[in-house]
Amino acid sequence: MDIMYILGVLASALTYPGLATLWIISMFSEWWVRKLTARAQRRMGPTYVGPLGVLQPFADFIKLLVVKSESSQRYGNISLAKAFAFVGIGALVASTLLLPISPYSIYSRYDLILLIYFFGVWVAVSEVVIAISIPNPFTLKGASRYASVIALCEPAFFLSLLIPAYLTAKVLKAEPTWSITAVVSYAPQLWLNPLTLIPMLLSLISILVATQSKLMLPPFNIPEAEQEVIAGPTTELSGPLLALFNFIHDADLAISSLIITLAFLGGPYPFESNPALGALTTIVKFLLVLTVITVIRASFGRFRLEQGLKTIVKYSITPGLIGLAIALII
Amino acid sequence: MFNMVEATQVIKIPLTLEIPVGPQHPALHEPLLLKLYADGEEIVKVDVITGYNHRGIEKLAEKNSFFRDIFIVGRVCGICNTVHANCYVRAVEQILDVTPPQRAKYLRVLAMELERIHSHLLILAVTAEIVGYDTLFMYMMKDREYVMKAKEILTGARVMADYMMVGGVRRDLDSVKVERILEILNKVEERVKHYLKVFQEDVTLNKRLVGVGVIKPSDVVSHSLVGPVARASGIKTDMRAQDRYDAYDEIPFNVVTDKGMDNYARAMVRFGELFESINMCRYILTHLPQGEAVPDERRLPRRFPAGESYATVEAPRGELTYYVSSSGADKPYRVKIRTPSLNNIVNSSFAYLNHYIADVPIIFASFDPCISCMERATVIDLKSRSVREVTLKDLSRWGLK
Repeated sequence: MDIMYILGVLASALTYPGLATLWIISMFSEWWVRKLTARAQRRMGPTYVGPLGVLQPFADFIKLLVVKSESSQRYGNISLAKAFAFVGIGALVASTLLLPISPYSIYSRYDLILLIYFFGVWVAVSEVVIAISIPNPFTLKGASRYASVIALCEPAFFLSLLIPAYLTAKVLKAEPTWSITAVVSYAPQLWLNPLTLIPMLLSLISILVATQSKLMLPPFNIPEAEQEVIAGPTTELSGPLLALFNFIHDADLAISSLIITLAFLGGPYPFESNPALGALTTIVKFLLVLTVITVIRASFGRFRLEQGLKTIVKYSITPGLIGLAIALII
Repeated sequence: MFNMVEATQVIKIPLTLEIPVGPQHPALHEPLLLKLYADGEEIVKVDVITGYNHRGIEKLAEKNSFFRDIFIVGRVCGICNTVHANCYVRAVEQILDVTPPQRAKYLRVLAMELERIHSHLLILAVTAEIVGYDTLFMYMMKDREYVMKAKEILTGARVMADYMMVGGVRRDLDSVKVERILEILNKVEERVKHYLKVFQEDVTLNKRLVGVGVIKPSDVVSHSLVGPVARASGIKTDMRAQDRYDAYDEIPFNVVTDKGMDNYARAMVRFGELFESINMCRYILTHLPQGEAVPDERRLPRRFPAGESYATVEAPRGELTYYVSSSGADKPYRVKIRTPSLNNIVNSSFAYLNHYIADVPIIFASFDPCISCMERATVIDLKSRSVREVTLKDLSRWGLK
């Protein structure tokens, strides 16, 4: 393999769309959700750092990382927690490389499975391990709740991604098959075809509900229900470790929204040939997805665990399965 | 050879996770410890542990004069300070044999009903917040500010009104203030109607409130629960209707009850009472009797006859009682307070059993807890060094001694 290509991929992992870009997009996504939620609730939201407080999440992150001290307790294992925080961040960076948003994006047949492996499995595992590394009744309860929710919403998330992947491979005969790159390129055509429209609609509903639960946002903020289990998985986290956990959560939000933007809303479509307009279109669609997530977040209370799980089955897994069945019939 | 013995009993030791809710916890706005024992997500035992905020108010009242005590008892609770002051003032008026003018009685009721409105709006907002519905909480708290403003127009202060005085009230109303309060009431009524609709229709609120925290009428009676908690289980108890103190004998209102018995029923009773209170305030403002409401402070009696009195009011949380005993000195010999939260919270541990952990804060909030009102001390016998808990019966008996 060309050494320059490998160096290019490594540089891409560190800069665009890797770590540096992911950090900026994650912090911006957090600000967007916080600001819109606040406005929906007749509050000001972040205002202090930067114009309209846009730099507030950056300031929070740096403050936690540099200024705040890390407290632990007798049974805590901070090194283990940090190791898994880096595993989680690594998995997120790897996921960004699989998305077709840079010249060095990695793609092949069945790369969707890689995305499931990195983004679906390791991010969730790292969050659970970080939580239970410093145990107390609230972190244990929060982690067990998170594991219960994630056991349903991660399969639901990728089930809904399978539908456009299957349709592009079988109906549109696009190459590479079962690849997120092919899905992004051909997703708009699936919306325009009346046969594939219904499964696409069902999968969009499914992925929106799955994203809401995956990100622990209302009505699925059961693992970190403040009034029940303090902060759930993050109760014992402080200083740099909390900064890393928050970064993983924000990056999860950013990448989930990006996947919906690319795989369901067509990314730069209809300006694929014009890079500037295409990028602008992708950004607008990305913000639209974040706004929808925020509106749902601000419009509901919180379910109880079993109610939340039933809702995921009802409004995410079931539409996903029906969509997949229709796609198979087509 | 072994002697085979047939087992006669099984000792079941449940594997439980002990979760401390409090004394500092996001679900609680005041210090209290609910020690939960959970089997998975299910609650198997709850200990209600109080004593983090005991302030010795009753003893303080014995050390200060009858008139100063009006300000002290108002500080028992920030949210319902006028009902505390009203109950104490009426007890003192009974000892002095003083009757306030009719206009003052109407104004007292107006202050107390405005207080009920903001208290109920607060606990309904907190209910939404505990369910995780922050947006609804923010909106309700914003609209509650209008009621606080109305209370400020009437009494001069948003929170700590210090409005009651022996023989009347501290401030009178003019026609401009009447108009302003009426405008606020119209605005608030519209908002309350909207919030009622949200509570009735929102899926998350319904799923979290309906069928959760069911308290049967027999449990209400056996645990001496009072106020909206009792009324939501169909028990028609309301001191305003039973005692008809102040101007409640002239102002028309209905006692709101519900047969739902659950958290949702308790919220609905509070909504019903909000509308009743708004109507009562309107009635008062449009039917305010003429005459003086503010007595001349210099002419208030300085000598207190020996005697004792007992007064009761319907606070936003239920029946509040004051027992005041005078030995003929300028200070009360004894002031005994029994707040509704004392009954409702200390006796509430049965209500959480077999529910989920997630339900505990919401059931707790449905009791509208006011911890600072209800704090009591543990009794330590200095001779034998024994520590014991005191029953309500004993407390009331000692109060009478």
